[in-house]
Amino acid sequence: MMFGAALRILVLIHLKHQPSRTLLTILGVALGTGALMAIDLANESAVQSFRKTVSTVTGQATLTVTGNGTGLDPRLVDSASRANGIRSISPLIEGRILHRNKNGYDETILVLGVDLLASTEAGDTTVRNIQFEPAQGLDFRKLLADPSCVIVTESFSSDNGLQLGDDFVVSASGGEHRLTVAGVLSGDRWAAVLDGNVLVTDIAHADLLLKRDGLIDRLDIVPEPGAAEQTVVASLKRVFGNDAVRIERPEARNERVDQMLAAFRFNLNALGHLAVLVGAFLIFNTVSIAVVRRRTDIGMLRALGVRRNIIRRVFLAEGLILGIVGSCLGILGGTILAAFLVETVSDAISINFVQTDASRLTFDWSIPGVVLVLGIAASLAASWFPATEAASTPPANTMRTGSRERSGPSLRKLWLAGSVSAAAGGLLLLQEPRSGLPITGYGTSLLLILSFILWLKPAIAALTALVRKTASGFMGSNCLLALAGLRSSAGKVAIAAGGLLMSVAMTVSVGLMVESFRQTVTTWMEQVLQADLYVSIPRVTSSGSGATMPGEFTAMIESIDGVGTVDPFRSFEVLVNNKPTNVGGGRLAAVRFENTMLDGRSAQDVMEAARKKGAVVVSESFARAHDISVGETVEIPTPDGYRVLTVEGVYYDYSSEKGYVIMDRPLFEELYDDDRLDSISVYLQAGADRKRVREEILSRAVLIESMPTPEVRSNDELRTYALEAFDQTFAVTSVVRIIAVIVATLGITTMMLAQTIDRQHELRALRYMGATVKRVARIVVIESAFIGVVGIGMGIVAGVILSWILTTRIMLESFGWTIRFEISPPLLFEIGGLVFIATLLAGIIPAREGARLAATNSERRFT
Amino acid sequence: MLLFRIPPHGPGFVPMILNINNLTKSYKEGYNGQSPAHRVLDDVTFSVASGEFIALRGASGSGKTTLLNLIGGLDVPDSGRVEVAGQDIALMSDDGRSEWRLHSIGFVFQFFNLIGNLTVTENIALPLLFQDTPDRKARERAHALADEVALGDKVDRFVNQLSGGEMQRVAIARALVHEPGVVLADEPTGNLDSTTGHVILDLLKAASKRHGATVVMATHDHKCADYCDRTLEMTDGRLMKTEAP
Repeated sequence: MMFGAALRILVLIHLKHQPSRTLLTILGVALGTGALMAIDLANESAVQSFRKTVSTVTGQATLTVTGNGTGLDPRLVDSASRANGIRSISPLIEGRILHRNKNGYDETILVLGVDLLASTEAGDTTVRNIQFEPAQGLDFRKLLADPSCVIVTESFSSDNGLQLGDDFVVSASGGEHRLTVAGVLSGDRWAAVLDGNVLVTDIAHADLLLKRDGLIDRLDIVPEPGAAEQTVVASLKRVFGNDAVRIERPEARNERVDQMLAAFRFNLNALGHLAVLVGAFLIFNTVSIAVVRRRTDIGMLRALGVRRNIIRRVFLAEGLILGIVGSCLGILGGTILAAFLVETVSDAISINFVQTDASRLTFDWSIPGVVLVLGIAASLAASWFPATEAASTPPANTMRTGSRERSGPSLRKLWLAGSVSAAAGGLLLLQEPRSGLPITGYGTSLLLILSFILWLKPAIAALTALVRKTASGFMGSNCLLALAGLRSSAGKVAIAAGGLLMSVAMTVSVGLMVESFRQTVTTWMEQVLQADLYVSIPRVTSSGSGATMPGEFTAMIESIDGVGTVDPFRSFEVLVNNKPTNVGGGRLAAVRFENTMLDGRSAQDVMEAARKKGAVVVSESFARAHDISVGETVEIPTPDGYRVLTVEGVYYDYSSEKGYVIMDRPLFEELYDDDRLDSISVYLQAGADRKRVREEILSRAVLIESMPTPEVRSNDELRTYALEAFDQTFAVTSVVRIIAVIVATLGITTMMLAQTIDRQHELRALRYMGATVKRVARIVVIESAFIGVVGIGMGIVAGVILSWILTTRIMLESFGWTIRFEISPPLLFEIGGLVFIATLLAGIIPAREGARLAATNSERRFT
Repeated sequence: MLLFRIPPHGPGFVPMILNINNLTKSYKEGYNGQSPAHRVLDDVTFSVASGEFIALRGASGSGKTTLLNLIGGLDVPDSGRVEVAGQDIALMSDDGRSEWRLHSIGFVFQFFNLIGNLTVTENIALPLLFQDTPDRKARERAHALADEVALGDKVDRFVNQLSGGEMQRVAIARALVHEPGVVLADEPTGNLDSTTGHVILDLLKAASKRHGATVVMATHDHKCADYCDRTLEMTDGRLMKTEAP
């Protein structure tokens, strides 16, 4: 009863009668939680898409067999059938192609090459236990004999208006292909994979379509009922030879993907959490101001016998109400934002980690639950201090001092606390960086942000005093009054500026990190991309098609007039210590890297030594992830089992987070019996005509019958392409940064609005003295601008330090990349300028309100 | 824009500086102004001679402050005229009234309405600074006024370090610093003890005489009215009678 009455008097009436302030606060919380929701949901959708594809495609199989890097020989199916306890073995080729839908957009289609012959012999019209409807008049023999015949899903046929027997065109490795709908898969399971963009064809046809050179990707194995998994695995290993292939449960892939994505998700989520923290600042701001403004009411209620605890609970309830409403709206808005972000995140994951094809959201109910809990927890934590302050104020004091701000901790104490926090951050940074989650890096960052926030109030006090002292003679009456207003509410100003500081620091730190990273990658590309032309198979999707070039193509290119040296390269993924790693083979003698070895040795010398010794060179991220240094050995899987190789050198590499183990080509071919190629770097002789050589390469490619048409890029084109991929990876961070700045700007608006309402008598007095409405508005805008300058200034300083930590520590801990930290003044000016304009705009609403309140008009309103 | 100052008045010539004719003003009460209009001033008519010190006396809610607001150009009447030195204030724009107020009107309030984080000098100098008077000149003038109200030794103090009486002295100095023709004082002793109140009234009367300003003071206190040349009694928005001291 008492709580209800107090809540009504101290909170509900004010929330209702100050709708703009209430709405702005709710909007701020909604944006913060919305950012977190969007990031988490988009991430989860991308990962779920991968999981769904794995589980749907593997069907009932509980074991999968994959090659150690290279594909599997189809004859292994016969070998596998000799193993004990096996009910069925299904070979599979899996790849992705593109189809232009009726709206003109390219959609990714998952191609599954399965053994249709086995089904046909069994008189079965099922594909991996899913029934399909064959075309009228189409027999299985045609389905097997005609490479253009495919089975599509119901949703694909209906979305594209295709009937049985209709043709459609797809882009796959080597160009366009016309396919015919020979059957339609029924059932909802396939609709969950890539929105139903799946086509099934015979494994032999998939081989042709995807240019797989007769190798299959996987064997899916269903054991006999009751057969012990360990027995089946042991039996399979005996048949294949120990360690020649990888035998694992399908879920193992999911676990590896989770591990791989942990740092990526952690970093993105950290941004989202920071946005929530900025939102919490807004609540802190709102409730603090509410406590100050309602001090007289608090005193009155306390005098009437309302207990201290009730007062605290009432203000906690205000934070809770704002937090719940804001979080719910954030969950709603975040879901909408996630729908736009999901493809961007999915592409970033595909480029850097593993192919996912999420184009739609997969709603995981645990995410809004977590976001709601976080939003509420942040709101309660943010309201705790002002609520406690309200409860602890003696009633006589509150009634006497009216709405004046309490002095709070002394400036010296704040300064000292900030310094202690900064020192603690520095000590944390002295810890050795560890590969994995960047705990120490983020710990230091949080402590530093806390330091800057604690330093804000002393800084504001010092700055206003300094300006008054040095510039009071020429700064004009508006500035004088604005400074007086700021000094009278330095605590509230510090809170608003704190939100701005945090978002500016976040924007600057991530912006500088991305800029430094981009610059590092650009410099690195200049060092490693020394060839004139690069030949590769076009990637129809972000993860590539899996198609390769035959080894003989190297000799054909070498024979072209004007070609000097050629460096053929092939790589694929293997598991080293259960971590996905790229193992690759190139012509080490042809490598012309500059300044790319970690220990500063000449790359040519290291490569030559590795070539002579039969050793390997590894990338930095691999070396850090596996804690390996020069002279140590690495055990890598090959079709003939594990092979131990010595590490001759560690080189900088930013092309893959998984890392590379590189060896000379003859050794690679010996170990993997694979002479196929992913790319060929071509160094031209001096004076050679690049255009002519490019055309010659393309014309010679046509001579190899089974080879897809390659693309030939110049040095510059490849760099541009790589930087585009880089920018796409970081696209999502810009969305979160923008949201944080908006939330902080809302913080300034709400603070200034409350400040203006508090000072209405003072502003009105100015009007009595002859100040125009415009002058009053200008004073409020100047105050906003000052808050902007302080928040932005300190935010930029904090951001530069945080960026240094992010660049040199967090990226190293997360991905094993050494990034050269660089400060980009144009970026700082751009961020500072844009945020300053935003803070000026943030002052417009309070300025209008100030002008309205200062004007005495014909209506007396309840304010 | 027409800016004017109240014309100087020579010996023997006592012009009517303030003419209030049939002034009526109503307000809508309540949140969002949904309630019916309440008439605050009802057909008020009177004149004030230049240099006169008059009191508007009445109970709370009698319309004194509203009348001061209308004279000061902070609000416009529903009907009737407010003429100051022959100028109808209602015909001016809002910015025009602000500009006019800046040069011609001084205000003294019950709760002082000083800017807490400015010094005594800065508070007194504010109207001059608003007029874009050079800073040095404005400060010199503010110091002179501070001396007049016996605060010459506290010019660099922040006003929130002063007592109530001292604050009101700052307010009086601020009201006179730009040599206005009319000073409007709204319950200037309402927030002070009686001894300090009398000191303030003495000061206000002396300073206004020295600067030749006309003073219109709203008060509910009979004793305050004793300081005035004339008292206008107000009840429920109407002018009931005029009393000489």
